[in-house]
Amino acid sequence: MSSRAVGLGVAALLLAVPAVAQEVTIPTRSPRTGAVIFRGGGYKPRIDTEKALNGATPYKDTFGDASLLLIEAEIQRFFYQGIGTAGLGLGVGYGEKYADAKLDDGSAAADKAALKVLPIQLNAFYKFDYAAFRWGIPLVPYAKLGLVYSPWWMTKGSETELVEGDKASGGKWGWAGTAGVSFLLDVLEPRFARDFDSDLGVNHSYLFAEYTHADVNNFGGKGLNLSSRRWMFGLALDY
Amino acid sequence: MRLPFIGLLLFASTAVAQVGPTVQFATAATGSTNLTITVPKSECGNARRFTWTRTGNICGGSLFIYATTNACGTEPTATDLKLETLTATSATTGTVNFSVAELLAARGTSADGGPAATCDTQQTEISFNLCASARQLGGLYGTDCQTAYANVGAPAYVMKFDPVKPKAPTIAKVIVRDSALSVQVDGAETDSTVVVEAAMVASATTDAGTDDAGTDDAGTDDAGTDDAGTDLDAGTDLDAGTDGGGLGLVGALALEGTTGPVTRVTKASGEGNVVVTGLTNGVTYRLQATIIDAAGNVSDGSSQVDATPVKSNGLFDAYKDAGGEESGGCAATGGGIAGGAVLAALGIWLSSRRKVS
Repeated sequence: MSSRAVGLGVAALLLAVPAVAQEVTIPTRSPRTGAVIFRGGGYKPRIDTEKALNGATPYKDTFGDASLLLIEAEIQRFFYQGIGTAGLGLGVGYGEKYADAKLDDGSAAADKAALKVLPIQLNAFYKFDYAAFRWGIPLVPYAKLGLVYSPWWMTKGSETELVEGDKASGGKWGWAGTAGVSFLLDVLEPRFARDFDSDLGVNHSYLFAEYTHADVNNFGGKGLNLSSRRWMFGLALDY
Repeated sequence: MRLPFIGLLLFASTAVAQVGPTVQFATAATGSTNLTITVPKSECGNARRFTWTRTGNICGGSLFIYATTNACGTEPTATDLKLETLTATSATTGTVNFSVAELLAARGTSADGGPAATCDTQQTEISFNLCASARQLGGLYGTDCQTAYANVGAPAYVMKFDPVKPKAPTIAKVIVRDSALSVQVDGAETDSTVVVEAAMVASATTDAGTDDAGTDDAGTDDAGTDDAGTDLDAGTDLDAGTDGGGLGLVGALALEGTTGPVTRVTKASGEGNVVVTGLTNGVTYRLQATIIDAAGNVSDGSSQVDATPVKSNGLFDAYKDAGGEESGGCAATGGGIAGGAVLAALGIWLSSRRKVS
């Protein structure tokens, strides 16, 4: 092979590299219409604050100071995207807590007592993500206000408790306000974030922490008080 | 070339026409995949029914349907139970009925068979094959009746007599629960069923067993003896004890010193504790466990153990005791279902909206 032929081959290769580079598509953002959120945290219902209990603490006596582990999933739909983002969200959670039932003398019984809740929440939210997208500040504060309905039931052994003819199950209405801040993960791996968008349609990913003030007691009605003040942590994915 | 071919064709067609006999068995006594019918001692005298259908030609004598402890494929011996002897003119279908008792009796009828075993004297497992044997066609052209017998029956059903009852189990532990007792039974063999029976221990003012229990002064006793008037039910366990069905063999007879109905709970072995529920707190119950093996044999009862369920308090008990006003129930749940349905509809609406670019 002559040196002239080798030279032509190298030249052709060099010409081909820019051509290949020109084949790479310029990343584009997919439409952003909503979000999916997964969160978890401790949930300690304010059962012992019910006035009728006159200071008695049945929750603390049964479970001590421990909280329920509450996990939630939420889907959001964006209706406004301008200076920040606003929309509606619908979330469903589940939490449970087990402890030994007590004998009359206060000692532990063989049966397990449990409290289980299934909070459902419809909320309106606003998050200030303008600074994150416009100026690259990766923190997104947000707030939510919503309506809560929380089915609950208490079991002893394998059955729902029945005391004095009252079955230990029902549901409570209430409201909840939440404030939190999200950390935009895209800033850590921008290229990965773009791939995530182009491959799966996930525009942005966040880790967040939020504080919820929930009054779930049938808006001040009598009976079980499932209100709480809690911190939750989780992952949010805009799509 | 043409002539040998024609001759071969003629011989072949003759051979095809001469088909040896076959017998197809069927029974409802077992499933289509498990061909072994396990018979407990209690059912030793119960006959099992098989239908048979034969096809093909019987040559040189008879086709025998019989049951034997030996392999199929021979002419039945004197120790086998001969069920049918078929000739070429016999029916092509029929039924045979036989019990383990008949099979055992047949084994002892020959000179070398020894004394005939009975359902009571047979102490070990023994299996009998259901067979059909006949002479087959053979020879150079496939038309000669062979002298030797061959097995022509299918499928190979086996009737297995299992007279050995399981060893008596032990009650290793009783966990006292609210209105229930959780019983740990040890000693159950694989594929067996654990049975736990519970009955109230008779108090000093009540008679044990089935006599005068109905006349107890239930009104002066606690809740546990309020049911004393139903001791007639317990009395029927006497009958259960005498039947051969394998169930109810313990009951009031075994649970001595008890009164009231016997609660019986069964559970497959290896699936954890047997939990007897629906008991009255504060009342002492006498427990006994038995094992029923795969054949249906029932073990002797375990040693009896007494235990008393005790009330325990869950969160709702504590809440109500403290004066909590929650009544729970369907009303709240019903409202929740309606509310939940609305929220679910909204959720579906939210998620089903088309993306806006």
